[in-house]
Amino acid sequence: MKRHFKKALALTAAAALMAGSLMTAPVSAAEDDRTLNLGIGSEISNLVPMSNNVAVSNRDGLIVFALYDPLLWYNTETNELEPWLATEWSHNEEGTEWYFTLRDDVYFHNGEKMTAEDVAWSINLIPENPVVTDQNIPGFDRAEVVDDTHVTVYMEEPFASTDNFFASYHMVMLDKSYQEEVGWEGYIEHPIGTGPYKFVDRAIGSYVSMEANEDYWQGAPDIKKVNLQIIPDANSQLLSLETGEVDALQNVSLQNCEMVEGMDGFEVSYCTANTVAYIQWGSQSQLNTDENLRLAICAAIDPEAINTVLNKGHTTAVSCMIAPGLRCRPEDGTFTTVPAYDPEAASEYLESSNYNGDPIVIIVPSGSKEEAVCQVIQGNLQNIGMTVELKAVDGATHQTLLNEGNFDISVYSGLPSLYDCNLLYQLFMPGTQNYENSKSEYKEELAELGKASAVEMDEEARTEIFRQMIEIMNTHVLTIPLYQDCNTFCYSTDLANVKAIPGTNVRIAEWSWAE
Amino acid sequence: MDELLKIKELYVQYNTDDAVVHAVNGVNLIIHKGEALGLVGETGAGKTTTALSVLGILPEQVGEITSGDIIYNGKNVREMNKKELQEMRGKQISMIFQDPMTSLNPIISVGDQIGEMLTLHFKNLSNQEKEKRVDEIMKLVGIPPERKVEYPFQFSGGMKQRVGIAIALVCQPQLLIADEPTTALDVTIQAQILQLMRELKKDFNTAMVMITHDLGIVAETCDSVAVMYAGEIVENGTVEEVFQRKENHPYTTGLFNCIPKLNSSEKRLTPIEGYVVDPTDLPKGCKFHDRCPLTEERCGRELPPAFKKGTHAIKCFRYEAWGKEEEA
Amino acid sequence: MLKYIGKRLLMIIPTFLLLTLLVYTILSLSPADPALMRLGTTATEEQIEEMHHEMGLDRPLLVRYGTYMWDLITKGEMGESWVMQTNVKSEFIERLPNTLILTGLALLLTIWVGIPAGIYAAVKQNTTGDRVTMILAMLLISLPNFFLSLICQIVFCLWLGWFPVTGAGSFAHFILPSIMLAASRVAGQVRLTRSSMLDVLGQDYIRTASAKGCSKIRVICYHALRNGLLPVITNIGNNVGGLVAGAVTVETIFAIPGIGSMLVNAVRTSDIPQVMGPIIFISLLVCVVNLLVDILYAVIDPRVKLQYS
Repeated sequence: MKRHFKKALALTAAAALMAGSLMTAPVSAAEDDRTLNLGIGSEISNLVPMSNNVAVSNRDGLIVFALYDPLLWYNTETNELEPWLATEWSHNEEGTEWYFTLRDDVYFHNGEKMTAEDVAWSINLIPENPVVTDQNIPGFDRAEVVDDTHVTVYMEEPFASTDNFFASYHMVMLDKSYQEEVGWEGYIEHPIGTGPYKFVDRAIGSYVSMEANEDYWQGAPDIKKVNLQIIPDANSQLLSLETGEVDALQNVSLQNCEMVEGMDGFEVSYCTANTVAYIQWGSQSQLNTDENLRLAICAAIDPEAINTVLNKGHTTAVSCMIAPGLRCRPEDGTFTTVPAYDPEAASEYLESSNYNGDPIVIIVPSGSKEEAVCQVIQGNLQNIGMTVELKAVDGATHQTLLNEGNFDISVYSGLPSLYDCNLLYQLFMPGTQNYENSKSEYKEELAELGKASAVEMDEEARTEIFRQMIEIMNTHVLTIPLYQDCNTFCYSTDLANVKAIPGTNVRIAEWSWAE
Repeated sequence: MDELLKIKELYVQYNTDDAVVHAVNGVNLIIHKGEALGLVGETGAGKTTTALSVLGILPEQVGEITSGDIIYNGKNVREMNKKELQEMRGKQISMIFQDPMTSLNPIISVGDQIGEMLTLHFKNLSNQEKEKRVDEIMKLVGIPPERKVEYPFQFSGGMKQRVGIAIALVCQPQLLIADEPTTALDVTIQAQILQLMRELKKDFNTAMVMITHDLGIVAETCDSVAVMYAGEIVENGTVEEVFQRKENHPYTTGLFNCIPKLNSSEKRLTPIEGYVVDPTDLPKGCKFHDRCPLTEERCGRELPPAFKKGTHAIKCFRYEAWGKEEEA
Repeated sequence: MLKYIGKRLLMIIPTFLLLTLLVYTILSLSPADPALMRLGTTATEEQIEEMHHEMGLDRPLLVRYGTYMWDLITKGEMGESWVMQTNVKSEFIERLPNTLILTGLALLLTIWVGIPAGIYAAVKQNTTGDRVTMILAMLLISLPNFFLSLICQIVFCLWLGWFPVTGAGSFAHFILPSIMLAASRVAGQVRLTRSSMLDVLGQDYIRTASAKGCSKIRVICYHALRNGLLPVITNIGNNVGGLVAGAVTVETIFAIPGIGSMLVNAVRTSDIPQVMGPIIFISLLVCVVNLLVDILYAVIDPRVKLQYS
């Protein structure tokens, strides 16, 4: 028996040794340059925009703009479009032709020069990615090379936000000859862009590592090595920050940010975001035809409580579902706002409504930020005597339910990827399931206005159209804007120049190590 | 004195959760070299417990020897250390167990199980020599040596018991304790096994304690007999003395009366009245008194000592005239 | 013996097919529409139908299943993720070693801690040693995995700095997660071993072994163990399934990119190709491990071996 025992022990030891030797080498190999370890909560949605008809999620702005550059840059702090890969841009009066002048000193990570051909080719990928582009740049026809540094974009129909589209993370410049060489699979396996960081290595679900592009047209970034670590669990994220395994965390929950503030050697940067959380009604819901009930619900909800208690005072009140400052967003005060928090008025509205005691159904993706908000809303509504059912479902089911419209309330966090009010047009777009199923009496009117806004090239006129839309939406409570969210970065004091911005197009190239 | 084993005033109890079971209550036994002693009694009399105590293999947590001595070849078993005990077991005192079906390890070949005895007790034997001896003993007990690679489940009950006997005798012990070796076997096999044991005893001159409830077996194989009831030896003597049926303990008489007779016309069997005594709640005085047809008032108060006449001892006041057993 | 192995190998095929069909069907019955996941809520009816056609969702269930399995068996292809459009097989292969190492280490720990502890508890039945062991085992079973992991992360990673908190970069990254994963199985292993050993130790042949003059150690290791471990070994097959299931939580908390987290993310988004990959692997693994365990059983127990020769 003893020799069997010894054999078993030996086998085990051998297995363990083999396992150890199969391990990949440790990732961070910072010898003279320290690596920035940045923690994110989930796998990158799409590492190469426009490559496979999959939309880039807005939380991935950080990595997209590390590896690539767009033609234009939208500065979310000043709300101005700035030149980027394109130095100048203009359009004809009708808005059917857009002219771009390109920089002459941009190189891809593999050393090849970026030419007008690369730009035109990248833009012509638009029709191959309808999931991304059908609503973000409707009416696109084609892009053509004019000469070495000029490209013209032709639109079948004008689209007012075309320039913003070229500043979004959907439309970055890719290397044509590289794609022709390795195909999309190869491109995704080893992406090439013009951005401040070069792709080094990736393990799906684990990390993406990058190194500084020394030949970047804006000058090389200070931090030479960056490693994005995927850490799904919120507690593990915080612990990793504390032990120093990560140097910064993106979008930690506001409750946890408070904890980080109390920790020595760490800072939190807050910034009011362009993301707005708002309530949507289900397209099949009775609420669509019962305005008093909608008014009742609106007056029963206390957004301030959500802001101060739940979100620790970091989120702010907002007057409509588009954050102020974005392009063509009407000024506060030029339109009616939804009824304020007033439980008495809420009860009155409830009385005069057709509410018959049937439970109001709220749906929310389980485990999301919005779940806690929905619980607060449930409490608010129950306070005025309504029966409310809260259904937390998985992400996929939530999407389907949203589309079918078989619910009453859903809380949605929207970030316009085009940095403007185009989201309003998308909400009331004929042909979409939401629109077709909706019972709202105002939908045709809003659809018309939305269509008009898309083709209106004059900013003032366009702002007025949106003002009218918001006026209708707020007066008849077609949505309830709850609050403007807050973007955060938790980081160690070893880092400098880290700041959260209203948008998601963060530039880690601007960060550096503290002296 | 060729006393091999002497048990003096042995008291053994089992400490269970519910109650204390007084299994052995003052047993005195002497076994001489080469002697075959039959230990007779009903189930629960304490026979197996006595045997296990001799080897020191009572169930660890519940079994306890509370007092008494077990002297083997001059040494007190209760004072032996682990090593001495292990050496004694199997080499000097061997035991054959009652149920051959469960007494052998099911996943080790019979050859290895027999050979284990040699490995344990004769460390310097070569493998070749070991195999030779295993073959020899197997032949002796009537199993073809080729079958030594087979496993217990491939043997019948009788054959398994032969294996048990082979295991017990391969080291040629001085004393063999056989705990009801044929109880689980059918009668024809029983005869074979007993015949085998008789022959081996003669060949090796092994002393034997034959634990049984069958008086017939005692008559066939033993030189002396001890009758046990409720943890006590109530009668002790040579087979002739006890089986003559002239002078017996009332319990022994009862046992003899239980045996059905071929040549009588009785239609009903004659059991002993009453039930076996409860070992957790022993009565005062003679433990048999409430079932005894000849009981007197004194029997319920006083515990009778052993009254001795030569080699015949009986624990009953009816034989008070014999005189008490001398302390050795 | 070979016949036995051959027969069992053949039996794996129908089990595997049935399992994969079952999983595929259940996933397809989910109310979630994968086309919508891709397109978002602003999709038109037309676009949704087009996407359904592109993804093959307009074909009958059995046809879809059949096509999938055919591609798998003849070309070794697992299709593309519906949500991310990435190749399922390459992601699966990248993640596989992590889960294998994690569950492998955890299995070894379960065996090498659970079995000796169970033997100890059985041999020392009803003494303090036995009671302490069983209480510890009960504690481990009662503490939820994620809670225990969090505590250990705080103590061993933050305070003591012995291990990294998350990641899978080196061997050190796997130590704490595999201990956590094993913790949930060890208790069951201890109890099973203990009861099996107690059963064996109460058998007559153990008494025979003592009567032969075997030392206590020999009685336990040579006579009792081989018999007592038989049910324990067959249980190892169950353990593998349980370990892979438990790996999901551990992988998420410790940010180890393995099959478990791949599976969970895919189920959440109703991404059938992404789910099928891990499921196929897991079902094959469990079938094979159980087969190996049964063979091992036959090797150890001559009663089984002789039945088949």
